[in-house]
Amino acid sequence: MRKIRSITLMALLTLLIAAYSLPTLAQTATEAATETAASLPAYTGAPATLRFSWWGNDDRAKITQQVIDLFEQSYPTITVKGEPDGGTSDHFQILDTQLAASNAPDIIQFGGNWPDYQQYLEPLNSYLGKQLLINTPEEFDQTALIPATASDGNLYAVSLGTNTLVLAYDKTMIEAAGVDLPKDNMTWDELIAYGKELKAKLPDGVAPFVDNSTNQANYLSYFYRQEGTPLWTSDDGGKSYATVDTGKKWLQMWADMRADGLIPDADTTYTYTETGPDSSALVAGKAAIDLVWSNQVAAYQAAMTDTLGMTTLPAGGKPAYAIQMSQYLGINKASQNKEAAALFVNFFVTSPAAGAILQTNRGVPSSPVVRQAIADQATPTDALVYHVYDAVADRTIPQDPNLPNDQEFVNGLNQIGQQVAYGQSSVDKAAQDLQALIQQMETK
Amino acid sequence: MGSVNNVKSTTVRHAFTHLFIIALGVIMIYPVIWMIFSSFKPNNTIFSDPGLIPKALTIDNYITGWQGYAGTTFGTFFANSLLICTVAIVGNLISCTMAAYAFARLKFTGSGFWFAVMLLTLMLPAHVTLVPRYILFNTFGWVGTYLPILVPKFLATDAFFVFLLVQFIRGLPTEVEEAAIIDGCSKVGVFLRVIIPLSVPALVTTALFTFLWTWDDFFNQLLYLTSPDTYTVSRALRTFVGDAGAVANWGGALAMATLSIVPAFILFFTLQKYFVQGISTTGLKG
Amino acid sequence: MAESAYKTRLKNESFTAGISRFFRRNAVAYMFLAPWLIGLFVLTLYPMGYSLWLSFTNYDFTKPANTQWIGLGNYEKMFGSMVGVSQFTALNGQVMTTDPYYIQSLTVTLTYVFTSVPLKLIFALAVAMLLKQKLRGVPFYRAIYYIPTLLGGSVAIAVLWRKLFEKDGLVNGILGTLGFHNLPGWITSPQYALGTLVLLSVWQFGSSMIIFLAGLKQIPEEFYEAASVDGATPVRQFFSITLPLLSPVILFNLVIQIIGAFQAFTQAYIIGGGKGGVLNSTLFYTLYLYIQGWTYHEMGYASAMAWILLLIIGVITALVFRSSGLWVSYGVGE
Repeated sequence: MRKIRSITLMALLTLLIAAYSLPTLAQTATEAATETAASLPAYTGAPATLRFSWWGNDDRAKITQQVIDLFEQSYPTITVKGEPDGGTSDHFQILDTQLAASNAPDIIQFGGNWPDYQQYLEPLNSYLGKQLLINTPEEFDQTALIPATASDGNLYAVSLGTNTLVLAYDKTMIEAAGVDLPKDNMTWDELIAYGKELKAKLPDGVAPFVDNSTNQANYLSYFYRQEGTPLWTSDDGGKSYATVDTGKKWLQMWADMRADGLIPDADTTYTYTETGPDSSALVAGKAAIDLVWSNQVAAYQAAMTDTLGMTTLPAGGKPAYAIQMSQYLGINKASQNKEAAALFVNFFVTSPAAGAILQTNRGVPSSPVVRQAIADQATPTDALVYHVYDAVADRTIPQDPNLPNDQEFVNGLNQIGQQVAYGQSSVDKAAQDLQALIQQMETK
Repeated sequence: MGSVNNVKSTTVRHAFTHLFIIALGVIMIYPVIWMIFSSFKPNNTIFSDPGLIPKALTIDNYITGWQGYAGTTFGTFFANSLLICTVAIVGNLISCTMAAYAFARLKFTGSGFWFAVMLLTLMLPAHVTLVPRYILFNTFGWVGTYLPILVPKFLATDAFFVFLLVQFIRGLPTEVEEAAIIDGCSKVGVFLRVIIPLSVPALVTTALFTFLWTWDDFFNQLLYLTSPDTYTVSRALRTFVGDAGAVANWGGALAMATLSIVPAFILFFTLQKYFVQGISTTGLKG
Repeated sequence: MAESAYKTRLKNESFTAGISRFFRRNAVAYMFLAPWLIGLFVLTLYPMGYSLWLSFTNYDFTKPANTQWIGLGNYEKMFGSMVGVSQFTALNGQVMTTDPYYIQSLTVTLTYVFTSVPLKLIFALAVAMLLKQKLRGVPFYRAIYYIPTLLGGSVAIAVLWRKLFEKDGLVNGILGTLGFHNLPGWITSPQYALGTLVLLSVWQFGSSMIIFLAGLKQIPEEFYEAASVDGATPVRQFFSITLPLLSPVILFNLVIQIIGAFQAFTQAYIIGGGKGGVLNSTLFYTLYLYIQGWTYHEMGYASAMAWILLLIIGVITALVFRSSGLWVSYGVGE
């Protein structure tokens, strides 16, 4: 009886997916779904409704909704309501309000900032091997569990995959300018020299690089690591080695690049928020090379007609490259349906059918089974990501934790960057301000 | 100078004035017109085609925009907005009229004092009570529901309307009320049978502005509504546009923005005289 | 002893009698007033007292258990940077950093209030003078001019405004066809961003215009006729008849617009993408209060900011009323 029903469901599913996606994708998804239907852990509880919130653009919302539909087919007594929040700052602001009001979703997407929320998260250890089938290397990369484990030894979140920072470049544009494509593992000096060569050949109004100095903390954090003065480490339960000097070097390098026309003028820079393909100087054709998360390159590519290429961040100094956990799912401690929530998380990260839909949108999956299932659909973009992973293999390090109070830090960083860009602050002054800001965030 | 000449020059002057007023008016409402026309342009030509009249006409933007997000369509957002506007109107009509009647017609100890307090609350910036109200409503478990938005309406917290209605009721002739009291009518009776029917114009103004303010209110909705299926139109538009102020589907955003201003348009053009009356008697902001 | 007990009883009697008399006389009125009174105490007075208390604490809504009294700490944090202090120790021993952006938010809001309000009133009065003439179609024109005000507060218009004034936006597109090139992105230029918000506010001159129109209609036509006969030019008529007689209405508009402008939020929030724009050039006071309270969880600090806002609005309103004796005339002029 149950079998018949699941076959009917699969048939329905085939129709559904066929109606919404490419035929090849539908076929793979159906095959994969048929394979795993048997291996999903059963749900024993009463009918439940779950809320799941994440950030991301419309495309991510669409594929996430497809996975939700698929999950509901497999678990007919569980309903999942998706709550996409747009950008990260909206996501965490809404989440804070919801948590304070004890009204937060059951399943929540986090980034590297999940420890800021540990007090609200359900420890997942007791679900392992029951609802969460991620505790053997055959099921899930065990290294992916480490950054999601707190100092108390409990697992608080499940990694959605790995990603890393890359420099995405407009291949079409650079080829049209008649310049060689950028090589992997250039030093900072080589990169800047390359930028100057590019600048001479690019059309007017197009800069070689996007100004990535202060729009997020990641590039800066990478540089601080290379200089041997990491922004934030887990030493002594959290310690910063940042110095004014490193800040000055960083800001001076970008100020020089602006003076040489290697990045767009301030006005153009701040027209784009650089939070995703919807607001990016690279996508808009104002610059040729941009810092992008590897899992996001596909979305950038989808928004452009030019072809994108990808290379590594500049080499130099100490190893600083982190292949890291892109995002995590955590379960709200206050959830009424934690068992169902755990099943959803499990489905999201281990089901090949879900993987076939999500692809590498949230990073390279940590489940070998899922990776296997999507291997033959790897896009050229995916191949480039793997290429970067290989190219930086000898200079990778375990990822550093985020500086606490991430949102406030990034806001302050934006302001400092703008003050330099608009000439309202000298590099020296800005470096002092930056150091003060870092200290303020750690003592807060 | 002959009188014929005079008439002629007046006519010419008037024609120029008309022309000037119309030209200025067009500039004034050009952004709105542009938004409406653009919502009918294909998504990829909205910014590349700066002209007003679409080269190709499409309603695709309305179809894609209407789908909303998180599986919640703009149908739900509009229904939510209409629901809270309706309840807010009922709340304001009841509570503000009651308070206004007491201030305007009843003699009681402390009336002068309370009236002065009411006038002072008119000037109080909402931000002073913002944080404690949030904590209070959070303690009640109301965050994420419509109660923090609606309950205050039943407690006459929009002092502007109390003031408007006091002014109006004070201006009513007292003869009918006196006759009703002689006929043995209680104060409650006078309120229900005399004051309310006579105050209809002011009540319409109150309802109208309650609708507009609640429809456009963004701050309370930002604070108190936490899940998409409870979102109102203005809250939904904000997420639709994204925190970066950048959307892939600009056409959809413009289409929904256009739809969101339709109710205000309809009300304004059908009930214009109440608007003018409300604004000119108490300085209500639009 | 007995006597004093008797006196007490008498006093009590008259006291209870007094109460019951008070109730008999006032019961109906207070019944009508009840919803408003409950609202006043529960949603206005109690929150005001509460927020005053919060303003002396480090209350964080995600960690209510850690709340501590920090005395004037929040106020020092606001104004410390004015006297060059960057760090200080609050009453609870916590080392606090003075806020580098508070003064900026205050400056932005004051600039906004003192430019947008006069410009809006001047524009509203000019259009009202235009529409005051006996022309056909005035109700229609009035409606057209009111449309921006009708829609201006909505999220839709704020979204539109951002798009209009971007570097590649409609405004630069139109100016481009008129031969102006290399124009800045108005929204992303620190020196123009606030200007676009002032413009958005002036654009919504409709309700002030309608109030001025009502005021202008009250001025008897004979005054103008008499002045014409005396040979007064229209300009002179405007300054010696219109302005003085309209001054109470101007005062009224001024106060309403000032209070409203101090509290502007939605437009800055949407246009700045939830932040204060480039170089915090559109960091409105209320927006910053919201960011502090809800993004950084500093609700004690946000409450202190709210009280300072209340004080500023109170002082400025009082000054306007004080000065009104000098320029507002309630009689028939001269």
